[in-house]
Amino acid sequence: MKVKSEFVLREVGGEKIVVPVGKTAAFFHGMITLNETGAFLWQFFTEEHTADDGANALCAEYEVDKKKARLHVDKFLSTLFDAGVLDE
Amino acid sequence: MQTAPLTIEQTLEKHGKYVCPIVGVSMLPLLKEEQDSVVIEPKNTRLPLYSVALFRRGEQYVLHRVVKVEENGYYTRGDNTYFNEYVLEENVIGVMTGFFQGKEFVSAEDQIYLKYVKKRIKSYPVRRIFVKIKAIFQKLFKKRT
Repeated sequence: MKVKSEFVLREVGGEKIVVPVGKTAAFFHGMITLNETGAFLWQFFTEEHTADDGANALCAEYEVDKKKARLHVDKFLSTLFDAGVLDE
Repeated sequence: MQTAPLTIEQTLEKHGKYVCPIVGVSMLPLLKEEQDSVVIEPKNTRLPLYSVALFRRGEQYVLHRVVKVEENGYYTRGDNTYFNEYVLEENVIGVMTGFFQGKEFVSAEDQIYLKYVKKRIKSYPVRRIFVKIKAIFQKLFKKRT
């Protein structure tokens, strides 16, 4: 799975914010803010990966055990899916 | 991470800013639909002349430039429109503090941007005449065909 190409990550005053571009802009009116790990996962999932890949990437980047990392990735992906930002 | 299925007003209150894409062509050539996004912050004081206001027009949100400051509101106009719209102070939700042209962030205090604003305002009367002449020619052409 990967994030839809119609969404991009922008940094405003140190805050990472997901902004829709293209035709999606007319329909998406919410705002998604990401913390540091969220932004890391966002970059990671701009390319096709599995949730397990994401957990491994998180473990490699941060000091976190695989179980916690997987929980974090699952939460991240389900939130993006609910917001219509994820291509499965 | 937080998702915010909130109104713009609620988002501004919660996050202190709202980043949104451009819908429509009224702020061309500065802001292009489906490409650019704007950073809106809550209005804390009265808006200065030539700032860009986000306001409510019924159910719609509109982003236009302040072209005249009045006692209880503002006259606003899109950079690509040719009529002024009066907006009450209470309907103004926020002010544009910057924008993304593609990936590049431009502050509303950027000198090049401010030069653009000056030029756009100064050229308005000429552009308006040009648009009127163009409309007359289009009408004439339509009648003949």
